[in-house]
Amino acid sequence: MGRGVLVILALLGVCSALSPSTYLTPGDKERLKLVLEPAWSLSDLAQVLYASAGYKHLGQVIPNVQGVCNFIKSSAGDGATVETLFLASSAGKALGCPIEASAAAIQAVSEAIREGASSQELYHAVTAATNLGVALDTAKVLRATQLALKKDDSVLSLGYAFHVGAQLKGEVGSIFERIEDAVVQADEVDGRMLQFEGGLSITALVLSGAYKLAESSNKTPPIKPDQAVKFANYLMTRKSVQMPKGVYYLLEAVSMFTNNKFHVPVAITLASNVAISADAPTVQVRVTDLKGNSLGPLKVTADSATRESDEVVIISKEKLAPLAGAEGVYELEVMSRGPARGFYRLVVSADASDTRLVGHTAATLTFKVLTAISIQSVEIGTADSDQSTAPSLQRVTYPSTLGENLAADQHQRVMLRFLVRDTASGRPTRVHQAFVKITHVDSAREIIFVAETDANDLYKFDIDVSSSVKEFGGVSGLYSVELVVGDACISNPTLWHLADISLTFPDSSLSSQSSPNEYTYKVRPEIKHVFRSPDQRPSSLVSTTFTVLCILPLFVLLIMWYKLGVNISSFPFTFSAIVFHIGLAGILGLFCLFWLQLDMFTTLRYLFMIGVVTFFSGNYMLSSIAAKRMEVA
Amino acid sequence: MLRLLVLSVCVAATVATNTLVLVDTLATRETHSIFLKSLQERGHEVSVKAADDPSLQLSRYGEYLYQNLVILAPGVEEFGGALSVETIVEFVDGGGNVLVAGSRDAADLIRELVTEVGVEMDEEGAAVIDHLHYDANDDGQHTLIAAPSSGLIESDVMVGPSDGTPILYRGTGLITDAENPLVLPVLRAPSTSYCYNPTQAITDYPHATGQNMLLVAALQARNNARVVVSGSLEFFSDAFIMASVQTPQGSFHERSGNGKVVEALSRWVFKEEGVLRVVSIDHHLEGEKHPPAAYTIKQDVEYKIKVERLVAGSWKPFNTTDLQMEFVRIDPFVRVTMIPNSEGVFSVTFKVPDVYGVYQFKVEYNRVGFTRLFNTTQVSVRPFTHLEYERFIECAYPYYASAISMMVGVFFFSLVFLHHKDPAPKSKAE
Repeated sequence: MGRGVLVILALLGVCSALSPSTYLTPGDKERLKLVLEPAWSLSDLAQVLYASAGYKHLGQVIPNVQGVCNFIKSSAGDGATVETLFLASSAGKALGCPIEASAAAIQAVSEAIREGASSQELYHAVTAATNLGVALDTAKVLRATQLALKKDDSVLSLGYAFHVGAQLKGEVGSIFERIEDAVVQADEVDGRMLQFEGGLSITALVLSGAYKLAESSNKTPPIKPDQAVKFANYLMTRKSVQMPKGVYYLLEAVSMFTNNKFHVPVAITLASNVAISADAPTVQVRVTDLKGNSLGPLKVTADSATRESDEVVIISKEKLAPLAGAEGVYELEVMSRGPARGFYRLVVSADASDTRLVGHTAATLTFKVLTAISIQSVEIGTADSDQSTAPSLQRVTYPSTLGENLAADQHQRVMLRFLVRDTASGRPTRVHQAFVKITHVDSAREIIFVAETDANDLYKFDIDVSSSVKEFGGVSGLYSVELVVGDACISNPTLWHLADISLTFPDSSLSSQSSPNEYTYKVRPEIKHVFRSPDQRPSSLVSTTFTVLCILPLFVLLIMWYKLGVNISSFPFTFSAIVFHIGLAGILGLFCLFWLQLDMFTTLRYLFMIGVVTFFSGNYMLSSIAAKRMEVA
Repeated sequence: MLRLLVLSVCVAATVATNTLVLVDTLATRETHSIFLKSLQERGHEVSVKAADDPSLQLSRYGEYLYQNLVILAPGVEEFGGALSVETIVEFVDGGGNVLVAGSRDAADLIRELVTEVGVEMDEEGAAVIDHLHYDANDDGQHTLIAAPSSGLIESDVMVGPSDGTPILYRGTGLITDAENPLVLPVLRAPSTSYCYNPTQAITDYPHATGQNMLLVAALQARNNARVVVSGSLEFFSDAFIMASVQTPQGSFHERSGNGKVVEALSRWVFKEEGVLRVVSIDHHLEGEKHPPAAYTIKQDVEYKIKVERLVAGSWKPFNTTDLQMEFVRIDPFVRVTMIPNSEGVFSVTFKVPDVYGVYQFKVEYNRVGFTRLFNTTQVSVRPFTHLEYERFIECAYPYYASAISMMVGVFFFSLVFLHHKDPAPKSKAE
């Protein structure tokens, strides 16, 4: 059994890799058309050729054919080079308005077919000649081609040579032999693609050339069927091409692969959705050529359908029935066989009388069987951390939310149990995603936990409030508890808000950790500088009172003096006495001036001047008074 | 330094920017042609090279050859030529912008590179899965995420105006440190998503779940260099940009939101959007025209700053109502919001604090999506000179009065003391 599986797997590994898993879908065609469309502004002849040929391959109607034809005819006027003639005549052919050969053009083309020309020049000349209806001398062309190949035997050069050979009448075996030389130079990528170095345009050119040459010489090309499929795989990976030239080459090669006498690769793809469920119980398979065209009635069989997770085979050797109304689509009813949920590998082969078909056996497709689930036996509640009391659990049924709010603090645990039941089999099952999402209602901050299963597939979720302070950031408040149940193979993934819980965390340092981040994107709060308020001053009543009190002694003195009969009768009316007293008054006045307006240095200067005068006059006056007293005594 | 920065931005705005695009295979040129074409249309000189091209180099003779680097090569095991994670980090340090796309199977090299910018890709093989938000074209594993546009960062500058179309994404999840303010969550995963290997049952806690997981992250470094990291190469692809979106909830959108977001995001990352510069600064006393040598405490000062924003390649006046000016002496003493006018000149008048010292006028404008605007001008603030204090204080009148009375007293006393003629003893004796 085991070996059998291995053999099957090995076969799958080899064969499945060789069937094109895609084709040019209508979407692809539309995109390729968009790439070609700008050519209709008729500014570049090469673009017009790419677009005309491309539209023809895509089966699109060319807008304003007459205008395009006129553009081509005008560009292939007198003095046109061979390359222009090639482009114009090829485009004319694709458009269905062949341009007429002028004598000058015929001469130019004939002259271009000479020994020493490169194979690309020969290709242009020969194609132009064929399109213009100029008779070709096969022997001469062959000789020139052989010379060109001797000079340059690159794959590109060979590709052009094949196209030249395909247009010649008579014996072209010498070129045909070279196909093998080219094919062996192809590089294999991932074991499922073949390409020539240089990419899409070279690969497509060589392929179309080789098959055309083989057709015209009526011999099978030296390309093995699996090589043809690998080339086709490469072309299909390049269908995203965005250059008009690339699109042209791609479409040339793909068209050639849908319509030649030797190899027609078959694309076996899934036509239905990848998901199979009770609502859509059939797998639909599309069998087409690379362009998405039907290949006529075929006998399509499902070799096997195997569940990927446990290799259980649910289908083997069954014929697919053609789907009415859709050509090339075949269907197989799967759900009636009671398949288990999961991904399945379907191996499909198509048998046909047409021997040209390649890559039509053992194509591997993947589909998945969906079943619905229901969430049952849901219990949520709290329990004490020290398990001193039995947990209090409450039942909730989908899709209702628990009416009352639960509450838990740091001494408690929050518990949730539920069962996910497969509604098809009725058994408990496991799903990929069984998460409990706990969201803080105010800040919308969410914390996600994974529910774990036990041996009976019962899902359990259990957190200790005190040990999950870090996850919750220590933020107490109301949290909503939501259950997310999802799996790639269930038809009803569920997000269910089942309860609200109020969690209380100890006021730890964690919650107060929201340090003001120095680097913020928000508007910072405005700061108004608080100016120091002036010191409290005593009221003017106090100061006035004290001012009066301060002046009062002076008046008391004056009054007392008056009462005592003070006099200055002995004032000596001498010069020194007058100067001294004026000087003293001046010094006191200078102090007032210093207080009011003068600065220190000016004051000192004035003081020095007045001081000296006052000193000497005072000295003189005092000594004269002393002398007078001595006299009296 | 700032002038240099302004200058370099000017140069970048006028001269074509050189952008190097590194790819795994040259076919990426075709699968991502819309993205690359839009770069070219916006004036980038785009050079597409294989990531292991032995002739790769970012700088020559100490000057960077490119302003922008796009790495659409999740599979590259080792960069070619002179390129390495270190040189790319140096490139970012030198102000270069980088866009990196990863994938489920991104090579260690790419993981190492994004770790340098504060983003971690989930482990190899893990894919973002969401069983509730996937597109109908999904291959069955629900790894083609149709992320609701509500997960986009609220910044028109970075992701353009939101129009509610879901964004297609297939790839790995990104994990960032929520405490790192320089890393911005451009696109958050839906809250029902998680990142795990879809073919393996969940045994360990997934590294990234829900909204804590990012699909696209951005870094604006302190030197204003920008880096965008996406865990999905296809996020930028033509296929996703042109795709329609059909969600399991039944809403259908003709086009995914990818095109718009990729366009806006690439404008942002290559500094075509959200770039600000300071043109001029002016400060003086209220009613005057020129700045004084030093301000005195409690004076009224007017401060003006002209700011411009790069709009479609040319500098236009910037307008916002939340530009703030700080008057800083170690700590800000004053922080006020400035009033804009239509010329892009923001002005404010305020009173200098009554604490003297060396201050700075500081304008720091740091908003999501914009380059960091930072400008300081140093001025000194001195205290009052002795002449500038209040002169006649009412409550000091007793002092004035006593001093004056003292002086008057001295004058008269000296007069009386020296020249008093005592007639009394004679009469007594008589």
